[in-house]
Amino acid sequence: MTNDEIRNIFLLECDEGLGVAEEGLTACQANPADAEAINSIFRAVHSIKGGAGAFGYAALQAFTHKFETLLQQVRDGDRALDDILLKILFRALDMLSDHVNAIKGEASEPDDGALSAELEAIAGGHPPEAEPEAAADEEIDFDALLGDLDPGHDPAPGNDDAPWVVSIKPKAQAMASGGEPLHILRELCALGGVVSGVDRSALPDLGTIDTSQSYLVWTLTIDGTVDHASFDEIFDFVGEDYIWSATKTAADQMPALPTPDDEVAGPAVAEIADAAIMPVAEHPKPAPTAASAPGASTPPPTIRVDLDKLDRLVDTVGELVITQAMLVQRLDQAGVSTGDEMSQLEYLTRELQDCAMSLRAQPIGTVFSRVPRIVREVSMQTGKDVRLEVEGETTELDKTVIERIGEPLTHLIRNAVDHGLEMPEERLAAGKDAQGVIRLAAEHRGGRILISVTDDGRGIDRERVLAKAQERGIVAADARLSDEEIDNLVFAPGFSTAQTVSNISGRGVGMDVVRQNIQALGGRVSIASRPGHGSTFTLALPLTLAIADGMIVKVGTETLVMPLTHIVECLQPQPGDVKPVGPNQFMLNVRGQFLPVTSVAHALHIDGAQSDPLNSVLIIVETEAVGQVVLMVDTICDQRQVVIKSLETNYRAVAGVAGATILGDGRIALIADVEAIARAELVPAAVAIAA
Amino acid sequence: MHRLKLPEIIDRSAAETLAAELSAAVTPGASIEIDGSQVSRIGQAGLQVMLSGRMTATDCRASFDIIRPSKAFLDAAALAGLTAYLGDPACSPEQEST
Repeated sequence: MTNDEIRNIFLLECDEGLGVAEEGLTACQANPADAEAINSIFRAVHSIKGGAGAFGYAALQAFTHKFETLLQQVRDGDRALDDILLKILFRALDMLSDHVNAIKGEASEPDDGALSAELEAIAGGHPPEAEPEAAADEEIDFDALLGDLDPGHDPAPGNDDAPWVVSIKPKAQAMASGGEPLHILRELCALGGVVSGVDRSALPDLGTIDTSQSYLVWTLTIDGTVDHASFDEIFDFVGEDYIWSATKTAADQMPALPTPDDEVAGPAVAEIADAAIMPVAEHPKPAPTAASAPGASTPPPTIRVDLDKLDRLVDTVGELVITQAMLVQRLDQAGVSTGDEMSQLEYLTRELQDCAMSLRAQPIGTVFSRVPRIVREVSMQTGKDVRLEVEGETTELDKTVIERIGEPLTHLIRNAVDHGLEMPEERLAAGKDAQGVIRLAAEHRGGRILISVTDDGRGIDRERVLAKAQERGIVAADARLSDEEIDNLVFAPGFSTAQTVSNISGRGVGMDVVRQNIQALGGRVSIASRPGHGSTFTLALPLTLAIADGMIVKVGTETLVMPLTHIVECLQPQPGDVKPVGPNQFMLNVRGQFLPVTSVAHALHIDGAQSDPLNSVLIIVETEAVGQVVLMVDTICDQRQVVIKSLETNYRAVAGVAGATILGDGRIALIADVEAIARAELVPAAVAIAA
Repeated sequence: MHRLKLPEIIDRSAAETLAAELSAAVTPGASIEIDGSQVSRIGQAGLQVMLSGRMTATDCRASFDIIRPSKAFLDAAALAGLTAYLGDPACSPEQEST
């Protein structure tokens, strides 16, 4: 493996670590005492530091070291995790992300001087200060801050000579695979350390002792002149196996070793300095739990595979699906009975296809993990107080879709905070909580993924939106639009109602791009808004861009594929079921409900098709734009899996057509864009806006 | 009197065996003598078992004496800060001779 390959793995691990840390900090917002979350953040930052050191990324290593020091104090219970500190840790995480991006070449190296000094000051005992209103633009007088500290930023101001009190609790894994905690004690003793206390309160009697567990907690005193980095070096590669801390304490608080008399008197815990050992004793870490159920939280083994290899596999499976369809057709034409063998082949092909697609599936959390930072930044810039709620982050969808929804999602989130939510005073006046809520959710529904961004803000001001659209000539001055049509105006190119153009949003170049990007993925965007209560933007995306189940239909001379995900039912109407409502316009009575009938031939300009609904097959489809509608086709030929080939890539985008596929007989069939056909025929205004 | 001889190497595996042996030996009022002269290496797992044996013996009023602890045994106990619990070095012939 080359250095570049190893470096790329490191950068991937950095991304994973940043995601884990973000999740951990978010969990700590809800529960600051979440020891496992704090541990996971620490481990992630520690791993990044280790890799940064190995690759010689000095700036990243230096920053993570300061970040890690503060995290360690939190983990060891030396520092309470309050809201102010949490905000600082979030800023540190953002800075860490900037450092990683700089290494990737995606950004210039960030200036972390001020934040580094702040982290050092806090770790050195200076209480964290509330985040300034606009920290990004404001100079912080860290000289004054640091002036309060001793020259070396020693963790114990004015207590330079005080010895270190080092507390160590090995976890169970420290004793696994030949590990031996006594080696760590020996290394600390080599620094001049002396064991001054042993907490054996957790040690069970002979009847219940488990020799794979670690029960002892040691306290050592070490000369105060020893540099803290010496401890870091000792624990650098085994840190995850130990809970440890190094703090300075006054001479009169020095711990003392127990004497045999102590034991006679019966204390289970040796006398040691409270300051040194209490963090461990008071804040039991999750290690014992994890140790008591070894492997319970162990992730399944994984390997990294080049994406090119996965793509080749998916393409090959796609070709296999086509070949299988051809084989079935050829055998059928030859009158060969295929029986169970073909059913088995079909089953296995589908299994193989599902496996191949699942290899490309990723949890949407990889995209969602960027959102908290966006919310933090926009809320800071706007002065709004925002709480982010995330749901469904484990929902999986195709990697290509994941890669391409980042930008649209960013636009939606920024707009929701900037335009959707009111200022705190406005919210209070409206009887709402001063803190606005942005809810980001993902779920599987009907063979698609729905991603929604909901705010509890003011909702869309339809009067203003319509007035602005009329003023800009987007709609006619006398246009009478429904609420839904007015809401959709926000997707019109160049549309913006922002009173002032900010660097966050309001340039009118975002929402139309959102719609275009989502449509390019075969998805849709819809809006639901209630004045005074907020808005929800929903992205409906395909699970995969490669293979779909489709119904093969004939319309005139053309063979088309109708994606099965849209189809509710098919029927041949009886006389009396179809009611004419105008020239070439019909409504279908479906069990008392009247649905508009749309001619696919008319929408796609296909000649020679049936124009009488009574001689056609009617397919009821579900659409997001207009609900249920009826598509009229000549006949239904088959139902099968189709491999989707992009028309845009191989030809150009065609209205009403989502793509193409190769049928079993080798002919090419177009895949109908059901949503677009329904919209084109039934919602002319929406098409005009989206165009 | 129960007499036990500690093995030369007390790693996790040996500690498990030792725990079982000690558990059988430490009974109310029993007198246990443990020969530590052959120990050349003992880790945390072994020290924990010895310490647990000592505690259990104290609880059930059994005597628990470690005789002729080797230097390796005493060094490990000292390193772990357990000298006070795992025998008085002054009683060790090996210690006296060094």
